[in-house]
Amino acid sequence: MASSPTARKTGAKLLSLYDHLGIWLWLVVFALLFSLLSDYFLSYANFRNILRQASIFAIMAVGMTLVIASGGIDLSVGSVISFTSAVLGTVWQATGNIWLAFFLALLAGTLTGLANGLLVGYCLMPPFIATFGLMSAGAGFAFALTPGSIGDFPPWFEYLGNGMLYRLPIPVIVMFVLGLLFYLLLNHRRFGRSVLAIGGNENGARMAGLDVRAVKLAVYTINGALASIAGIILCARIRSSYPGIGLDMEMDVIAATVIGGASLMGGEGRIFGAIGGAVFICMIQNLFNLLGIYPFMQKIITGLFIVIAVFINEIRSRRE
Amino acid sequence: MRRILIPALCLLLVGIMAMPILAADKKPKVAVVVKTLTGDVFQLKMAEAARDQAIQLGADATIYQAGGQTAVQRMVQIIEDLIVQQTDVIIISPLDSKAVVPVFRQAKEEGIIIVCMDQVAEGDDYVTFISTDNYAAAALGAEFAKTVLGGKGNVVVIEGAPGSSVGDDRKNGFAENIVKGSQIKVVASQTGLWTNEKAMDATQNILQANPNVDLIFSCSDGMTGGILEAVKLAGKEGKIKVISFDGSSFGIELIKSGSIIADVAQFPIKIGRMSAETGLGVYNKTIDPASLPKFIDSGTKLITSENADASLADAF
Amino acid sequence: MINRFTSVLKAKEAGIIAWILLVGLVSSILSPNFLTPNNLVNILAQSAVVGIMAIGMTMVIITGGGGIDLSAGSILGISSVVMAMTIIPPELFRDTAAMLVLPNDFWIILKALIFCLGTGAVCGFLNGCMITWAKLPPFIATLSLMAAARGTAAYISAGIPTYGMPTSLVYVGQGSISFIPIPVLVMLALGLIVHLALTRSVFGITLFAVGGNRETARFSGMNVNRLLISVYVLSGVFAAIAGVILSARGNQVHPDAGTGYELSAIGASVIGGTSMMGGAGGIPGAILGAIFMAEVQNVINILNIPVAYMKPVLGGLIVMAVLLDQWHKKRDTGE
Repeated sequence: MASSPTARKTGAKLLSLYDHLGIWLWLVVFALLFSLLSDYFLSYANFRNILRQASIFAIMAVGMTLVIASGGIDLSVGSVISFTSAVLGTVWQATGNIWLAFFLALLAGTLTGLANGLLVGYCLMPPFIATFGLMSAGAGFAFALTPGSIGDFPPWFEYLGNGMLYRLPIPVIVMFVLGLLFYLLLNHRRFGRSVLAIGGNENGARMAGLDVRAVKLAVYTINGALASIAGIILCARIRSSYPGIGLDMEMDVIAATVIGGASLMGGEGRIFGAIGGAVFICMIQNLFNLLGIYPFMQKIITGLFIVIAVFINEIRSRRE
Repeated sequence: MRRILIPALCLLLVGIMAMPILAADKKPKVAVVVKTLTGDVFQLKMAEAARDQAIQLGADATIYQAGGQTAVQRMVQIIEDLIVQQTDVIIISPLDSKAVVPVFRQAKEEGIIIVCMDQVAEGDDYVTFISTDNYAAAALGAEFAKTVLGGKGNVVVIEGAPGSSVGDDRKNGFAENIVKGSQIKVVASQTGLWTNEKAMDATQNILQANPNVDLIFSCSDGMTGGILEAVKLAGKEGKIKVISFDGSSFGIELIKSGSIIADVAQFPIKIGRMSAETGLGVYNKTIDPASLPKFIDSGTKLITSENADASLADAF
Repeated sequence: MINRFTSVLKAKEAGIIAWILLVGLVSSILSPNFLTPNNLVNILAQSAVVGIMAIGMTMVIITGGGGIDLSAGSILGISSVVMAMTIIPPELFRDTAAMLVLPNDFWIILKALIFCLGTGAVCGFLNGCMITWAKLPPFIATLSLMAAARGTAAYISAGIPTYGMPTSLVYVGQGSISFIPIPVLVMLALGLIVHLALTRSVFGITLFAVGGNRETARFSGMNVNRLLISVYVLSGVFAAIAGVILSARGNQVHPDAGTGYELSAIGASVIGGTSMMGGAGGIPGAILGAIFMAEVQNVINILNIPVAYMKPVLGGLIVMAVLLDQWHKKRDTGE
């Protein structure tokens, strides 16, 4: 039976909507499944928790999306968080000026990103190695600055991490604002088109007259800055600084970005997909905690979930 | 094929996870939160003892791990999720004394009873802290080392991971007390990162640089195996004496076989049990939190070849 | 003679050899304890575990298309745990000193080794299937196996490390044949075999063809999927061999063993001249890369550099090594 044109049209519309929603659709499906498993899952307090936990990874994933879309990778983001945290704490302890600490921490992360960008863009180093080097350096320098944690930040500083504005946690608002900003930058500005073009075909982009080096420098610098914002928020959440705080975070962030629909081969990236990916990863962890799954099983199940999430995306893109 | 496979896989996963759900309404809910369970026998036995004791006292108890010595973010996330779950008692070994303060406050506001074990937190949102006095315990080891060495010689300290207050207490407790009133020198002090392999590499390289080492102090039994292998490979077996920390059954076996001369014991199973008893006691209102001391010393003991056999009975 | 000398200078490993010598020279000036036969043998022995992993990793990276094996460290962990669990009788399970008392039973040890390498092969096969059949990006496929294998290792060992192994196994890690440690011999033997396979066999030709241009390789009738699967299986097996060596050297099996080693192995491959884009690289470079990393670590320990600066020094030297190597190549090709 031939379907009527309108039905076909709605079908096509639904399909494109499905493609557009991507990971968010699966988030809803999984959330429904999870709420069957735990009585505590489907509540305002729990969703507030998940989003607040995810916001730190999500802000990092926004920057990582740009990096991956440009055909690169950044292993140093976890160390940037540790380093930012250490600078924040040290400066605060030395001067007692929280604004100076805040500014220098942001600067430290941005400069690390800049160093990555110089190595990758201007020295033509493979991103994996350049950022691996800075990952080692950042993690070490964080401990060199301060081997232990530093606390006693002013009480209002914690507001940045745990405060609420109209029932929405502050970090979540920051996450959405940054997400929207970079969504516009990536999808509706020339800079974004350059990033995608370089990731898709670097030589072609160069021939077309794009300044590949400058764009890469910008991308890695932005990523460093975003990671340090995430680091500052994390410090605010624990109202202290801790030099080992970002250890191993890079893998979760890269996974979130790829689950959200970015291709590690470059040329593709979805800002809100990456945010969804971060929420997905935190939601799984949240469910484990609510159910009290024995820790060793958690890792096994997390591995399977990542495969499933990326596999679903893969099938979708293969159909296209 | 794939269309069926994916939902089937999802259902399977959900099924696996649904298994541990037990309907329990009246029992108090106890959560035991530690840094890591893999490879850290101390934390594992402490967590298991706390959980088993809590279950024996009629509670529902579950173990959570942050999954690393520095996974602060994960530990905060676990406590936040425990608050949503309306847990009654949290028995925790915090990763860091400061990082957990805000989330402890939130938990206390919800009326959750917090007991710290092994590592303390700042503030006064927990009811009590049960642990070994690491500095005093390491000093005990230093005193023994002084007698063995006759007041002079070169010693090496293999430290825990940088930034760990427990590790620092042990290092300082040993290094500061061994030099007091003696001619003993600490010629090298490096991290073994709490792991066997790193301790082995560090010891090997230290022994290259310092041929005249008389004694090595290991900040944990978890690193002593690697240190002994390094000593053996350097051909210094028997010439370099080793003192370890923890008093696990493995450490005691090493004393019995003559590989190390002493082990400073702590009692994780006792710490775990006491924590569960105290937490549930406060919950059942049989213990008045106001009368509880803020620190309860779970005790230490120096194990040497003389009391090794007797100590094996209550070792972990 | 001079000709041979210049050809060594132009070899693609020249950069890394120069770096090893340079760091060695500076260290022997700074410390009298560096340039002793004992210490040099030490460095070689300490490089063996990462070196063996880097052999497998190099093949994986050469396949291109984002080829990478992040699970290698976890495979090392799970296969050594499987080995220990096969040796330890069930009643001693969960005893930290279980293996101290174990005798050298040839059949049990053989069974344990087979299970250990088999576990590595199965993990590698799973990686290969996810990458070829499910078409997952290698980064994600191996990342998920990294988590799953680590979890399984913890699960089957109940999280407990076991100290002490049958003495014949310990010999594999600690023994030496006329002053050369056995781990080094294993690394060199495996390296030689794979080097020959890469340079003089159909397998090598196919590998570089697939790495250079996958579509062309497919059109010219090469079985790309079979190659990919076999390369990931090999990487898994090599990680398992590294696991045997690591456990035997430290005389301990630990469920967290090998954490982070995958990045060291990748670093060793790339320092040794393997391109992350695939299609180019070699085994000698990878092994030299591993030796370089062990050398740096050794120097850091000998000079008693504070722990916080260990990682920065290592990272900085790696970045500089690759950077100068690149500059050197660019000058040679006259770009």
